[in-house]
Amino acid sequence: MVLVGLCVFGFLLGSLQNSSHLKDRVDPVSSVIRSLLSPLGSALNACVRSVGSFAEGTLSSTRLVRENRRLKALEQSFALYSDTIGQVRAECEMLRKMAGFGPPAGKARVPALVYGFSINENRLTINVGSNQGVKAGCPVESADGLVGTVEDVEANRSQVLLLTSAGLQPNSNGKPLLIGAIDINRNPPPAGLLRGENASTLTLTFMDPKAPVQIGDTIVTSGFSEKIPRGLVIGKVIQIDPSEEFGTLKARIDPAFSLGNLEFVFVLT
Amino acid sequence: MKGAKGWIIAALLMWLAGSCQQSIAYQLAFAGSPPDFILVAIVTFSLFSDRRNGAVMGFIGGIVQGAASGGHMATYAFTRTILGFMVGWLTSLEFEGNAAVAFIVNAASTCAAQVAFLLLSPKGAIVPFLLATIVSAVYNGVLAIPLYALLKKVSGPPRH
Repeated sequence: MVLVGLCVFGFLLGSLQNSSHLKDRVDPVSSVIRSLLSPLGSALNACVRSVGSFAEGTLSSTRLVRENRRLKALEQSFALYSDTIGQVRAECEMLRKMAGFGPPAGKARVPALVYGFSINENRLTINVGSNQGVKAGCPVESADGLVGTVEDVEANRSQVLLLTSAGLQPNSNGKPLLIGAIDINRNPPPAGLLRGENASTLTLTFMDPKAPVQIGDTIVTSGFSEKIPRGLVIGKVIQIDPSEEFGTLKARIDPAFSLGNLEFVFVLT
Repeated sequence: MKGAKGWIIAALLMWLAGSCQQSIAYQLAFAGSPPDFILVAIVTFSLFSDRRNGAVMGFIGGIVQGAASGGHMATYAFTRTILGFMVGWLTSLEFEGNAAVAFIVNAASTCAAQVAFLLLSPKGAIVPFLLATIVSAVYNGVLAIPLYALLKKVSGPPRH
């Protein structure tokens, strides 16, 4: 009797979760549980990362000092170009306004810290939310490339659906996450749709079996989306599999981001 | 494990397991397979409980896991409740509870829960998922040994 009651109650909570998702909200039960887990979770995460960083810093201090010097030099040279970049951006915005286009997607970059992972669900938890301007569907990138898109947004935290779940898992609106991608090493760049294969590989399907794609080519976002801008690095082609009977060409992609190294990311709002 | 003391231990255990699962499980992954702290907490606690308490612990664990991971809560609640119930039922059989039993029950429960989860919530690639499940099962079994010893110390010998 208790077993049946609990199962029924579980399904009711699941329905509540689904209906909240459809309204782009987080259900109250999940919100309360996440709030209870977050303080200890963040502390444990910081603790484990500190131990790892301490060990790495001790073992490779010489390399880190050298890298620090190189980064300072790069920062100085970057400062020389920042004014020019600002002017070019202002011109671009003025031209977009004159042509009647809206603001470009992914304009502002909101820095965030990753403090939660869920492997089964292909999700990350980050420490920024609606208070920082984050919205559902915003792309998230690391220094290496695109990581995924924002799924659940709360006031000060969000969950990110990883790129490796593209085309597999439904997003908050019950539809699979579809990401268009292009091969920038070819001109004109062939375009295809991404699909997650497993935790470490993606498949890019081109509708032309003779698409001029080669192993080692860099794949970036196509920009055929309201929220994901063009040019975010997705990864590199590691295998090509033409299928003439289906009229497609499938390329296996090694994602640019490494889940194990994700600590700081940017949400493009 | 019964009474207020049992439920305080259960609540603390679930809070710790949920926090660890959310924040550090991936960093402790072995061969790409992370441990499932919540599952270990459910199964090991249920070894000291009856069917009813095992099912309740499984239900709470499922809700916590579903909420923390952002996955489908009903799927987690259903699989974990059945699991807690089964392990609680197992303890009513005549056998001597010990660390080896905790290892075996945890490993078997991980496999059962993941296969049930795979059926209820299909994944893209099945073979890597099953291989990861086997590694996770062994990992969870190893983690269950110290937890079993701790719970035994706190609550006395398990029911059997």
